[in-house]
Amino acid sequence: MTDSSDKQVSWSSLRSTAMIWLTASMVTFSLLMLAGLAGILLWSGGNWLFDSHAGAAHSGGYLDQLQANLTLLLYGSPNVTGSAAMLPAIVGTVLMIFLMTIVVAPLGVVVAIYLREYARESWYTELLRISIQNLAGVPSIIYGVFGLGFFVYVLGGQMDSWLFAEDLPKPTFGTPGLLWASLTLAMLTLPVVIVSAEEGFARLPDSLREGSLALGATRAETIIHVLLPAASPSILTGVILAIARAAGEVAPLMLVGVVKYAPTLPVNLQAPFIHLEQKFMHLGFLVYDLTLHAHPGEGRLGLVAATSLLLVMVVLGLNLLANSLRQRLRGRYQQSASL
Amino acid sequence: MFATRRREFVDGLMALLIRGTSLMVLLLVLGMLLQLVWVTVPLFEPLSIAEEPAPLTGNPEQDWSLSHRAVAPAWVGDHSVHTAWFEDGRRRLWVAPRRIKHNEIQLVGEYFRLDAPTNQWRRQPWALPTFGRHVIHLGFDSSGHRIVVFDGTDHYALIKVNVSSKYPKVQWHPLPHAFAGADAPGTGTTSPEHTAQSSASGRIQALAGGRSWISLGQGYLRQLHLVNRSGKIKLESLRSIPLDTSWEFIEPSPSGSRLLVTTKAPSIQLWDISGAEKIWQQPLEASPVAIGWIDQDRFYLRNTGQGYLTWRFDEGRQGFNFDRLFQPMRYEGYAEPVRLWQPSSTAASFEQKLNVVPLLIGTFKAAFVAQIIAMPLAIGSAIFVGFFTPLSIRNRIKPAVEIIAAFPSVVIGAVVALWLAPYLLDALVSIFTAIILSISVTVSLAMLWRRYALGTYSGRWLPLMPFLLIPVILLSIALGASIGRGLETLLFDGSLMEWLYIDRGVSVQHRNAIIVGIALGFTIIPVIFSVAEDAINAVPRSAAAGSLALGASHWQSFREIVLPVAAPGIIAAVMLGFGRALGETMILLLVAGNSPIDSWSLVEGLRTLSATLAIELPESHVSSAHYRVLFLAALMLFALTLLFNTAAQLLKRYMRRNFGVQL
Amino acid sequence: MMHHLRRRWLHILWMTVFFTGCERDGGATETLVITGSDTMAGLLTAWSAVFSELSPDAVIEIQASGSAAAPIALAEGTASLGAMSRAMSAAELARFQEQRGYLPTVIPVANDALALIVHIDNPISSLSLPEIDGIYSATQFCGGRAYTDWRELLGAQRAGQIGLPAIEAYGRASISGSYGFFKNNALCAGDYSPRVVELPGFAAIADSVADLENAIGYVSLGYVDSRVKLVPVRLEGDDGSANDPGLIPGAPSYPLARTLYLYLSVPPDKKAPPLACEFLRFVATPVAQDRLSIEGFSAVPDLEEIIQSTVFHVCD
Repeated sequence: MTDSSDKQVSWSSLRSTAMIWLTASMVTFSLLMLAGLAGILLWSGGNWLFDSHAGAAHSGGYLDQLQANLTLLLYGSPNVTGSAAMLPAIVGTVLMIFLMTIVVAPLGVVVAIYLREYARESWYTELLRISIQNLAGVPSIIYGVFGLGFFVYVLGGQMDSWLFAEDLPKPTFGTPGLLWASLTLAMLTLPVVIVSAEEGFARLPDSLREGSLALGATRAETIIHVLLPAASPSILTGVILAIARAAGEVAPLMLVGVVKYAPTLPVNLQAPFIHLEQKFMHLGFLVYDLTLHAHPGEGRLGLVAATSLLLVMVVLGLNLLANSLRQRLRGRYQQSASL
Repeated sequence: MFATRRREFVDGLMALLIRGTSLMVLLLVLGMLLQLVWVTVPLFEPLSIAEEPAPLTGNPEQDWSLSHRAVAPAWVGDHSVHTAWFEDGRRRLWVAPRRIKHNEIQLVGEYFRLDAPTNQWRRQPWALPTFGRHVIHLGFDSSGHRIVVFDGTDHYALIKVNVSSKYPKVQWHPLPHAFAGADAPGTGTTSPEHTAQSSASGRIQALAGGRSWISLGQGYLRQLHLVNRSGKIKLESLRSIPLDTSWEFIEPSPSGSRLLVTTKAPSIQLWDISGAEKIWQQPLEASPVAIGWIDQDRFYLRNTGQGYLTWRFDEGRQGFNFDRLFQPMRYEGYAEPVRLWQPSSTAASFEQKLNVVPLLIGTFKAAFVAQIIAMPLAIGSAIFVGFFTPLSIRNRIKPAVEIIAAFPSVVIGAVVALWLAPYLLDALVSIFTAIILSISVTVSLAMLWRRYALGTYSGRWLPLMPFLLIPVILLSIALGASIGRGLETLLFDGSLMEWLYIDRGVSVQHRNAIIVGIALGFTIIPVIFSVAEDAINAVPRSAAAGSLALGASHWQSFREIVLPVAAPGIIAAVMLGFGRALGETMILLLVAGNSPIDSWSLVEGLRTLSATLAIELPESHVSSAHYRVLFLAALMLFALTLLFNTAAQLLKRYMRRNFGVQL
Repeated sequence: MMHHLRRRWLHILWMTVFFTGCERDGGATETLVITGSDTMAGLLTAWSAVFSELSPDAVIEIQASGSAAAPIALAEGTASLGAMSRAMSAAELARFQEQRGYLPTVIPVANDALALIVHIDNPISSLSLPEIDGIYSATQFCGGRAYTDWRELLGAQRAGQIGLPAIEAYGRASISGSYGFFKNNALCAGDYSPRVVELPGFAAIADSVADLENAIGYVSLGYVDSRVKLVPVRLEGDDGSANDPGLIPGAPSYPLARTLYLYLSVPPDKKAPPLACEFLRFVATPVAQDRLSIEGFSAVPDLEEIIQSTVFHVCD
């Protein structure tokens, strides 16, 4: 500790300040890289969105041009080489996420409830916990491999021989499709939901449980009517994080159901309305496909940037939503813990 | 009592459901590992061959197509025994030897070429030679550009196909007796008898694919293959199998890698040529009249009583051994043993090269470079945010860095591949000097500020430090980049890569481990940052406060008090990051060149296990050897990430138990 | 709160179904799945877009992972049409026959060629087939020697225009039909060198070659534009004259010219699905044929007759 008139500044304090600034600069570097990435996307994508292109030329103002370009982006145009139709990809992604959520939310919540409320410390519980933790670290492509090897070939093959035998050898479910893709991603995002839900249940003060049980409710009723609603924001956070992850994962989908061009949506007015065996398009895969396969032409980079921008905004938005939810939760329960 | 029994029933049911579902999830998780193992294990099982119930009708020699002995197509002119023909989509050739005089053989044949615009086959002028030797076998090579002719005195000649005027004199070469190049696994013993002088003509048979032939001499069977040695194509010895004198029929399989043999015993045997070992045998009741192959996994024999016995084996269960997966091997057409990953081709006779070592090397190369780049950035940021920043501000800065995690890796890969990759390699030196300069400037500025300005610590500005440093860093980067360019011109004559290649002879590729590592490193920063920051932050501030009160500087407090406690957590973070880098797929697909090179060089290309799975699994046939090897690759990847993740979990648990910090 | 959430989700779901269902036609009867060549992906996409306008009831799915996927998909029945940028190999035909009991029907639909491209500043004037083999293969079955440096082909002085003289070869991945075609015709059925960079699409190859001075790649004709330089190919003649200017794609005996095919699986006693037949008839129309030149392909002569006779045999 020195005062300003003292000329002798110790080496250790110099070094300390240097380390503080150095570590701060590491943050700066990371943020700059992030800014660079975002900047490239915004600049290139933004330019594309506001430029006039063949098939979407507009003499009007910026907003009109933007509208025309967005239409081009969403619907594509056969006259423009290398144009992408994003709408089927968006619908496909949304549909798959929806199906995945139907599977993963209940499953994740149930496992979290089990771990929190029912499980006793035993080798079995330990095994379950370890499995879930390791599941989180498995590379996403392995899920795709499992999805292909088991869901598609084994389960799908069995389903075909039981239900669609008259169509064989043309496979109905024994081939990659919407159902298997959703199941595969459900497995992928299961740990995220479990961890969030478990956190939610752990945060709940014991007084809640004890009070409910004391009033005569069974354990099941306590869980359903008291704990679940109380923990639902955490569960929601987990589901949102799962959705964000699923929107961005491409690798497993390449093996279990995504296709380059499927202009027919898996959802339409023809019974049974949702076609689980069809292949579908996915936003992330569209970015991959555009980067590598799009026909060369001007504006191709901008197209990739614009598509990526949309994907990133969706994923980022979901993540921010989940984070703010989580922040609010911490505040809320720190207050109620004093009860 | 309101409906107690019903409520209790519901309670019990729910408990059951919940327990059951958890069990199901556990089984599913374990099932994943199990399924990978389930598909992989048969690869190593010994070959299983099952005898089929014999067909009731038909004559295999006529009905069943044997791809390497198919009935000659209509356009083949001569149908004598030694006629060879070749067809690809655009050329048709046939050739046969014709005796014109007692001591003179002339080759006759025709050459048709498909004229693309009109879709007609047109006859080409083709000059064929005449020579004075007896022909015992001839055949086309795999490209259809050469004819290999074997005479009765252990000599061979290569006849070029594209000669239209008079053919020059044919050059005859002796068949190779010794091995060229290093001894290869599976060559069998090379005792003096095997390298005996040329015997009276052994039989010659072609192996499917046109790349190798087998020559049967005294006591051995030798596989000869065509190799290009410094511009000259010649026949060389690849390996030999000791030949039993009791062998009668010898039939190579349509895929060229197995040999069907009958002996006088009588018995029937199946030999694997690349391993030079017998893989199956069965005694017979009587010597067969004929044997042959129906397909690459089915063969038959005909008994004297006109009955047929057929066998079928599973191509996916073929007694794979670890040598084939990990050791260098000699392949047809290659001069030296190599480690190769090149599994698929349209031709059945293609030797699948399934060595996983290049893939493993690639996976680790990329992960190492990523780790080197990510570690300083992530850990440095974690120290700053976790220790130096006051708690109240932490919740705002932390998400800023974690936003990186929200970017899908597809997008990161796309940006690097499209915008950065073309320039990155040339900018390497500039980047390096820019970083060094920024760090030096930051450190010097820090020390100067401490020494001269303001004296006391202004804690209020501390959280803003990263933002305040932005102009400093940007300026230093710009300055450093230009210095770097000048430095590159000075030291490396303009370009580091060119200097490395031209002056130092280091082979360089543009899509190399460094480029991939930069993209991958950026992706794993948040993974390492999250956990490391949690670990550092979890150490109670009171400990450091005590140290500060005693007069230690902030950094000393950190280094002596916090770091030892947080160290296991930081190591766990690094391991998690490494595990993530091992398994990342999209960035590898977009940024890397996916060339399976067997080299650790960071400036050369790479191919990882994950990218290989994504690229090749959709096209492999279920239950084929390739399919199973891919699952083996998945299993290896799974095991590797499991290793690192479990180690990280154990470290986290250690921190929890021993230091009471919640991670 | 849960109640409200749930209701809102249901609401959103039905709206999505309703509106997206309205986007497309309701009465789709049959699906046309085309699997295979990536080279043909652009052409097939364009064709299906026009075809959907003519037949609004049609449902089309295109999966362009590579020609090697087509025979598998066709044999399994997952695809109605298999698109391949090379002819099916004997092994694939044998496998198909073993699985289905008959051979597939083949229709040539366009003529294409693989062109060799280098960077604009690369002074190379032509390459012979053995030289191409020496650059791309590990086995050099065409009889030449291996080449790893541009100076070996150009001489030290001319190669000075290329900064880094190491040859970087770009090609397609093994699932691509172009990979197989190039292997058989340019590499003399030899093996690729592991150093060849495998990219999943011609666009990526053209990009890389346009950016890097020392790169060489092979692309379908439609991807050759002003950013890259086309290299004529010399046939390996008897004397290999160095003054031979070489052939460019389109010349009669260009060695890397190829035909693009559509394969159909039609059992001998049955007829092809009507949608596939309709598509084939559509391919012969002038509207579809006009599309070829935009994609960089050329027409197969007498395609109309070929398709008519095929359709006569396999369609109702």
